[in-house]
Amino acid sequence: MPFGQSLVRSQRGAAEKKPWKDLPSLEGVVETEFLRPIHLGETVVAHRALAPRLGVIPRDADAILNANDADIDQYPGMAEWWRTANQMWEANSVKKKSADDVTETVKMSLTERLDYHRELSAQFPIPDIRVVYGKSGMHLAAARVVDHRAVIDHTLYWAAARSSEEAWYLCAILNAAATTQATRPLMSRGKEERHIDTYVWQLPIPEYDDHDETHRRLSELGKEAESVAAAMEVGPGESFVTLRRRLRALFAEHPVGRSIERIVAPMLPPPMLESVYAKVSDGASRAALTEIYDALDERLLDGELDAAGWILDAVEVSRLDVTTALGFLSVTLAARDRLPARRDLVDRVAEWLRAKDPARVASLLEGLTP
Amino acid sequence: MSGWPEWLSPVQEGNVRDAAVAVLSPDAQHVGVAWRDAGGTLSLLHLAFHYDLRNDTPPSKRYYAVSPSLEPERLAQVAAMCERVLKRQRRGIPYGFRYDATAFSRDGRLVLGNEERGLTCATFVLALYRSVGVELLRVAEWPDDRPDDEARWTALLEVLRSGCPDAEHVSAVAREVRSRRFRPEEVAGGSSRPAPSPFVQAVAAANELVAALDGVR
Repeated sequence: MPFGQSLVRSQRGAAEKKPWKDLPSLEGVVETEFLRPIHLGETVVAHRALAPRLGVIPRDADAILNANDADIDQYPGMAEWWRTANQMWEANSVKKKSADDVTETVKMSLTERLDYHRELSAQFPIPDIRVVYGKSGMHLAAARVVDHRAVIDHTLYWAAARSSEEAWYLCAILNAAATTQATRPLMSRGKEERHIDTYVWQLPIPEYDDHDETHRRLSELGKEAESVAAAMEVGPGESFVTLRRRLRALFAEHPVGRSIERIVAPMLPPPMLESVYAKVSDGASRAALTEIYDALDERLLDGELDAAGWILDAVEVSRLDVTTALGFLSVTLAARDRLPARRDLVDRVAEWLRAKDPARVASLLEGLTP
Repeated sequence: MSGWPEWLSPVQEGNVRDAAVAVLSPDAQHVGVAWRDAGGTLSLLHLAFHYDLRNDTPPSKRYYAVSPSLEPERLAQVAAMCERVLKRQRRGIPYGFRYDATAFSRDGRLVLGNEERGLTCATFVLALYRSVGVELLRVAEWPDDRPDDEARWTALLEVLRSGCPDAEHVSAVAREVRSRRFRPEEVAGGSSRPAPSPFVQAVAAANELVAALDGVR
């Protein structure tokens, strides 16, 4: 038996296209069991799922309901809403012209469209803990969703997590600037190159292992990051784009964000570093230095501070010699105020030098510290 | 050679490891940086004049290198920065007298300090070292009231005026003739002392250098 009803009205937005933008809002009384939280791209920012939207999802406990099925009549409110919606869909959905110029309606019902590629039905039964991230954009924004009723819109990718620890671990990795940087070379050229999409999964991201100390540390940091993100105030009417940008800026400097980058960047290092290490190992230190200067020069010249930071965070100082270690600090000197990763690298190089060549630490680092 | 400073030697293969300040003999009125690229090739990078940055390979035998009082790993950074400046500074560098905050930016381009118009051969060397964190001289100690400096500026200004079509630039540089002057021999001599070299020490080293080079005429 249906229980409870609620008056609902379709939410309108400036991004609507014709013919939908010209249609009146749909309004009706629907059984509350069909009302579900919906997460869209705009409700997900780094480490935080914002308040979801409310959606009418024509699915009972067992299956998606079709407007023509008698089953739906058990829920008169839903039946009316869904049939009205279907009529609007039939009257306005995409049309195409056939070869003889006779207009034909594309034969996809609203239910089929709603569950295109099983994007809706595959979400059921809804896992207790999920990680979601936005498909579009040049920066990954991922969050943990703990809501067994929430439905995920097609503008997001989602994955079930076995535990919150695993979800925090994944969020820490996915939201790291290093991950976005490591994904960029994998992204296809052309019109899609600006979107992260599923390319991130081509990276060698290890499955969460709670016996692995590094994984557990990342998970803890992901949890802390969630608290940091939750504490950020959202201004009235503030767009998710602005909020994502503010969070990126916050985590770029925040100790939690810095700690995450310091773990994730070496997991997903820029390929040029292996070349540098090989040259150092071969005694070609000066050639390695030129490679360091060229790589960082290109990034800084293009204003790609995140990419430069990724390199600095990923550097394994123990695989360098003094010349190349100083190279990373020297070539980035002029950008020192804008590269938090450089501050960390100065500390790591200083610590390494204190163990390796304590008498020369001061003269080697003179003028290079923040 | 009597009284020859041990830190001064001809710019030749073997005398320059990665980078060194190099001064032109016999009158020490021009200075640049002798440096080696990753392949070991020795060159001399110097600001000849207004928008006239040169990289001479091999360097003229008239140049003498000053063994710098820096860790060798820091000198490698100077050499790498020479390479970078060459790649980025193709258009050259404007000529100007006043030097305070000018440095090469994070992208290898020259960023002029407030109210600074360009570099001289000597301040080009200072800016290059500064860009890798090495202040060769304690610049704040340099006097701005040496009469022969103003005379030298005035002479250089006339050369600039005759060769530079940018009247606005020439006028701006003309307003800098009372700026402190870092003489080429002071930059070269000062680089032999632990950085940053105090004015007094740089002048003493410059005097040694000039006397030595005078002997090779």
